[in-house]
Amino acid sequence: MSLLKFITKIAVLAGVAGSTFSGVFAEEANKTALTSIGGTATLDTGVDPDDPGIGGGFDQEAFFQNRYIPNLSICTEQIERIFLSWTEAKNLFLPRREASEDQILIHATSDTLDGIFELSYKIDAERMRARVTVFYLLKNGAALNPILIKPLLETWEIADLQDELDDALKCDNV
Amino acid sequence: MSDANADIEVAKLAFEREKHEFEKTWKRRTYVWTILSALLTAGITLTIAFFAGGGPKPLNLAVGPVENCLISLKRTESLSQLPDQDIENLARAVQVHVGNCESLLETLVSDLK
Repeated sequence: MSLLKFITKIAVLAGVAGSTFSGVFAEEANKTALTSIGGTATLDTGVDPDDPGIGGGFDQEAFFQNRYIPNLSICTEQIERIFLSWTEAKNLFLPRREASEDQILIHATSDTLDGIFELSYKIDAERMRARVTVFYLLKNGAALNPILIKPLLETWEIADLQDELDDALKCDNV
Repeated sequence: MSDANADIEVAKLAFEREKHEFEKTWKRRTYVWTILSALLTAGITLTIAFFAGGGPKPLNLAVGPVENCLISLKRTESLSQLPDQDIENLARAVQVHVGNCESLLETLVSDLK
């Protein structure tokens, strides 16, 4: 085995071990984000404390977006409608569904799932920013190991949901 | 000559009386100002004390962590409703929730005391 191959193998093994290690301790983290879209009407709103960063890891970076939305407004109804139609299409039931004027919290799951989806939408009119995020949590309340997110994204067609939530965040096309 | 002396004496007495009256007036004014100034100082001190320390203690908490704790509580309830939920997983979920809220609630209690 050439030296280069050997070094590559060691690097890959270290990466997997690192992910597994962080996965074990990810139980301490609150939740794992599958997709998150933030919108801001000004460029000086500061750091959004609800921004999960790139959540599941660099492979899923495209699922995490921050947008400049000059005419940011309250789109609670649109976001709720989009997420509910997704849960209906996926035959999920909702242990919790609550929405106020500026906030939504919905939990969705099914008999075949080992956890729950959590939709969170919040608009902060004062700081002129909004964020919609879909999290996934295991049955024991722990965050999912980030390396296991990819199959969930594909099975549950999160990319399509993300596109629709992206439009809904701008109150567009809904 | 004696008439002139008597006039001077009367004038001196009148001057003394005026002087005395003048001193009395200023003494009274000084008392009034002293009392007013003491009252004013006391008023300012009490007002500052009321606004600075007399009111309720400000809470050492931001709204974000409190909201997260509330969501964590609601999530725990949702997890308890899963059809195939078991005691082991639920116990772990409760533990996660305690981890999310315990220190925050302790801070809140100590701030409210």
